[in-house]
Amino acid sequence: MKELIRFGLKRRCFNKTFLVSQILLVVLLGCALNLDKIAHFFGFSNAGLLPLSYGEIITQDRQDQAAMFGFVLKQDTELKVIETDTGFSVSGSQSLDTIARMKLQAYLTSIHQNAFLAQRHPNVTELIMEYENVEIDYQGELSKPIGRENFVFMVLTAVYFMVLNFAAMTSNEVVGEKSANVLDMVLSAADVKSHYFAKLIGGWLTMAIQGTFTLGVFAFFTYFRNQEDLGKGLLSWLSQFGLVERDILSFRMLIAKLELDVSFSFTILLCVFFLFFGMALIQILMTIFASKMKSAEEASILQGPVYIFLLILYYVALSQNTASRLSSVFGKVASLSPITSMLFMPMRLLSSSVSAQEIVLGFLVVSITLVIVISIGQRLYADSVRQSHPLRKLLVKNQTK
Amino acid sequence: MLEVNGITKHYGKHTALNDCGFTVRKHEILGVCGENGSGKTTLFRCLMGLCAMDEGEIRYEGQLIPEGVRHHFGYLPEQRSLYTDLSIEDTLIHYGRLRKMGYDQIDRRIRELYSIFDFKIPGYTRLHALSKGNQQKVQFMAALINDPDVVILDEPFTGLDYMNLKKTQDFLLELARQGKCILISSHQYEELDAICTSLLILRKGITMGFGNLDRMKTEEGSCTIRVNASVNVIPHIKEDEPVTVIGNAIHIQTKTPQRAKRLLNSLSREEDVRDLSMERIKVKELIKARCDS
Repeated sequence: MKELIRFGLKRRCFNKTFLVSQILLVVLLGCALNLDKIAHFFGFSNAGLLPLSYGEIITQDRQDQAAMFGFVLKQDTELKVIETDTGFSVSGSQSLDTIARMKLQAYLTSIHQNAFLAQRHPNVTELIMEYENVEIDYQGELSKPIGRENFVFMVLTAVYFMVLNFAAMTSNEVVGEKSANVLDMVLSAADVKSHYFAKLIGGWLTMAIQGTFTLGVFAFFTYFRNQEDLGKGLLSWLSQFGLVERDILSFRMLIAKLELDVSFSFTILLCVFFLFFGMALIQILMTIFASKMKSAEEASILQGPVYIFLLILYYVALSQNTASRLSSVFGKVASLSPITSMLFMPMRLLSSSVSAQEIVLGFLVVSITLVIVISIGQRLYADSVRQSHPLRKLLVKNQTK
Repeated sequence: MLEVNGITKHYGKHTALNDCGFTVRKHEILGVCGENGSGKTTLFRCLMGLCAMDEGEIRYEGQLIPEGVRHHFGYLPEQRSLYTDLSIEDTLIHYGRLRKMGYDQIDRRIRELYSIFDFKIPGYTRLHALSKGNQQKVQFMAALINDPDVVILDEPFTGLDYMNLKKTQDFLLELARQGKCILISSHQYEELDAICTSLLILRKGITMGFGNLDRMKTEEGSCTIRVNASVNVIPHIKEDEPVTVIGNAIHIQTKTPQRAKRLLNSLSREEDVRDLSMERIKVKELIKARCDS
């Protein structure tokens, strides 16, 4: 089995395609950690300014005033300010972080004060009261602060693509070997059981190698970006899109904001376990199904519904990504069921509190399922590869008796 | 000795192999013959454990072989079954390692096989860059990397030119001399005729004949006298003996070897006979005769 794993890894990781993909990955990560510079290079000069829609006529004076508070005035932006009888109404589909909210508050207060000073006022008390107080009505999502939900979103997206990639990798390999008749030669020298486990372990190790390499490259670029400007330029550029909070000005602050204490680290560890178990389940199921296929065409037909299922699961998970929904019966059942738990349990762990009993139960369910699937899968895989039918063997045995 | 008893294999409702049994002793080369779909490959796959038997047992040196890898067996599949993106050396090392061989041992064996097959292509060459015949040679070497006691070869002569075919035949005869049990399937019956010691004839999964090739030929009896002469040979021939003219030669088929010898004697006395020879029944005719019966 050791040789099969070594050989599989060598074939996957030491070829031109893999090398090109890794170079591409290095380039992509390098670009990702220097997005602000790239944006600047291509002329996106408003980096750091939050687009805001306020008023119909945008004069240079108004634009300058807005820029002082970190805004750029545009027509029909996502963030809208409307003047009301009592003050301002602010609407938008994304939540605002504390700093952005404070800046908006300051900007709107300054507008209110400028307008107020231009009017006549009956007495000083009223002047002071109304001058200082401006009513700002935040609507919809704007009332919600950015927190770990963004982090959850990023984790979910990463998981989704990892599942798609790695679950299909092993199954494609099995179909490829079967259709190219390579299995005949391999299985004349190695037993089916070793081959099955080598495929699974090889797939997981490839994932680990890829993950480690990605993290290494990420750490490399982060280190150099940190040396350059502590990541300030990138983070403030990303904050335009609501990906990080506007008050985070360095990588250190970002890490501090994530509050990576022992408890949260343990939560992340739990998330990783659930994700891994879910991915492993999908990988094994796809490998077993692939062993029954005769050609790559058949395998792609099989992969279609699996991708659709994963896509549906992903969107359902996203739609349920609020503390109240995740605490509902559906959220709880999904977080304890095999496969769905790889998305729902991490979401629950990151968004709300999950009892220790539920975590243990979830672990037991997914672990037992994994053991059962691996052991049944081993037999099904052997039967598929060796073209035997378990029922026929049973019939033959009964007939001989 | 390899003993095979009552192998039966079904694919759905189709019976690919029905109660097939035979033995192959050391130093023997068994030719497995039959038309397409007769069950030759299925038989080999069952022997190698690549295909689960529905019934039957396989014994080697008296020991029942369990499911799993046949460590004493080497197998050359009918189709190209190699990773074509690998180099020759990597391929052979991989199969050697799978057979639990050490790197030094593999290295020695590769050099040995290179010399046996008179293979001169550098080890770093990738398989997709090789010709069909050379790919076949590499596959052959991979099958023999662990110097197996039982060698199972499914269509080994496919893609080989005349020189390589002869070399392969000589090599197989040498393997047999070393005491290996060899099983070969091929549609190139003349090549089998030249090296096989015994024959297994299959038809639609059913065994139509098995035994020592010499004995089977004798049992079948029929012989061919090939004569090239300017005299009239008709008076020497019996009415029920079929005669065919191929080129300048007349081929006379006799029912028994005794009759063939008598005919040979009488024809040899003729003065104008330029060429005279006697051939026993060929494998191709033997198969036809057995299948027709």
